[in-house]
Amino acid sequence: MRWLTRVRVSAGMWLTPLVALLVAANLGGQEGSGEGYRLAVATRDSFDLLLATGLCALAGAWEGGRLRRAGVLTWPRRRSVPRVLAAPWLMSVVSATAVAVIVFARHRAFSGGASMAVVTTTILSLWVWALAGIAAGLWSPPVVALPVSFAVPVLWLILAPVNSVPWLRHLNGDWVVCCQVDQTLAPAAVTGTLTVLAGVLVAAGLAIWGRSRTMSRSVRLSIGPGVVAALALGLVLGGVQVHHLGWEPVDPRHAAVACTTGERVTVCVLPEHDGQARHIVSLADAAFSRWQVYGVRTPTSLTEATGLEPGSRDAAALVANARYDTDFDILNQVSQALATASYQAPGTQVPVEVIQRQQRAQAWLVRSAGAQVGGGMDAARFGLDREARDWATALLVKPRAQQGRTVNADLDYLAACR
Amino acid sequence: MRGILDTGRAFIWWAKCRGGLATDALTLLLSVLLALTGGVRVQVPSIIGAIGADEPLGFFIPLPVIVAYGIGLARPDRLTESRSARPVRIWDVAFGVLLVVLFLAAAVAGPRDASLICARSTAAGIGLTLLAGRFLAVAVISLPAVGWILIGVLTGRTNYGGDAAWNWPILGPSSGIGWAWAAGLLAVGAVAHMTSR
Repeated sequence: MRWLTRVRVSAGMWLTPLVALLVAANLGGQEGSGEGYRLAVATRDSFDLLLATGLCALAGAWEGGRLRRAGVLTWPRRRSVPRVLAAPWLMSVVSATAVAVIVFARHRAFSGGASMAVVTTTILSLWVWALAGIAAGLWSPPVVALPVSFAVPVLWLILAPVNSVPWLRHLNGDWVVCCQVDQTLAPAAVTGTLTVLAGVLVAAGLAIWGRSRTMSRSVRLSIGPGVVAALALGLVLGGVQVHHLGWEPVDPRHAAVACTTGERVTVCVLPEHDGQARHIVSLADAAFSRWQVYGVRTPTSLTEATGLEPGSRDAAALVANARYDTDFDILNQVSQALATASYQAPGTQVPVEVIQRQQRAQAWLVRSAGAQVGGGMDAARFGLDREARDWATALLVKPRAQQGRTVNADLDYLAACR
Repeated sequence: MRGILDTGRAFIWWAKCRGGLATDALTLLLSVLLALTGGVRVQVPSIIGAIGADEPLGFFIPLPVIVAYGIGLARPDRLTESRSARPVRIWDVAFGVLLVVLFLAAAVAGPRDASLICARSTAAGIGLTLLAGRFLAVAVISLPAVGWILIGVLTGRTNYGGDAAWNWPILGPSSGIGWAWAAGLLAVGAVAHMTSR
């Protein structure tokens, strides 16, 4: 077939305007977490391309139906099955792949690392589901193959991440919950997803092989169980790899931080927060100078690096956010860095006493920081309990030394948490 | 008497062509599934950054029914049926209404909201399928309904929490606009099907 004819009759080409609509929607939508974290943006883009996967499978089913009606695979032929399928497979995915590349390139997902894994998984998903669509089109009439080929991958991509079985949520390449700026995608989620895609690929290949040969009835009847077994095996092997991940497919991020040193503190932030570093340093210097007047021992560094030593008050874990950079927001982040228990095991319930001490300490810190650094106002703005605010108000009328001893006792208690 | 027997035989032939028994069995099975999963809700993220749709799991149950109905419509030869003396097109529409009634019956005995959403989506989907059968190739007659439901749930709600009027799949179970869509599509589809040549 001439290439112009192939383009003219290809469902993948005819679906290009619909795929282009997805691009337009993506370009007009939010960029992931809003902090410029490339991995979070890449996973968001991957989810936005969900419908493109269904459209690729739909186009594949159309191509498979065309091959079925023409009897290209069942009649005597000179070309091998892969050669016959190469062009229809390519035409089913070319526009969606181009769209995916444009979207990911726009958000610089090709910079490497975990975002590259997301890109690879997404594009492989388009190609594998397109082949599955071709297999469905070869076996079923179009009135069955077309809607089923569109609905099945879309439903798999919608329902898997939201179901109540933890390991099943991580196997379809839609890691829309990933990631906060201090998290990265767990490699097991990527390999598990690729395993499931391999199962789908094998199942599709088996179905296509079964359609391309003359075989006995018993062999033909075993194709179905073989397809189911391939899918199940992919799912099981993928599940084995991700079952330990819990509800979110994330690991702590061990990225290099960049440090800025002020008069009283060194602030080390992740690359996404570089623009805020100077603001945090200047505000932290001013706040620390206020707190040191009361005798409160302040840390020498505020850092977003992971792996802080529990029990030490020399360094405090900072959680910055590029979307919240007013004086009020920064003071909130700095005071939380001091007044948060140093270690909280995932999945455990924080004791009430720890919560109370955290709230009390932060209430005093923001009240005493002074209005010129965004504090001094009613601590209710910081979302603190009434009890904590009243406690801070009562403490602020006491002698400065007593205030310092009380706050230091709370901060020491929180730093010693395990 | 002979006329009744002839009509009965024609009806049986029609039901076999449409896969009526299989579709009814599928609908009953899905009604049971609906009753079992009525309380399960899924939060589907939106692909355009809007607020995601919060729907019962039964939201997706009409899809196989709509596809099965479309398969039944596509199986026989249209030209032959168009010359039939029997009211096969009325039977087609009545069969679609029966499927909707089966899900409505589930609303009496089982989860009310999920069943109403199911029934509404089935009615609208069958209407769309009948309409598509009039103007499109048989290969794609159930695609508009399936596509509308899935695209609707993925585009979610507006950023201010409102629902787009065109997005009937995700409108609430007691939404007047949603039921108007369902009734309208079913009516238009029925008319289009019964007047086709």
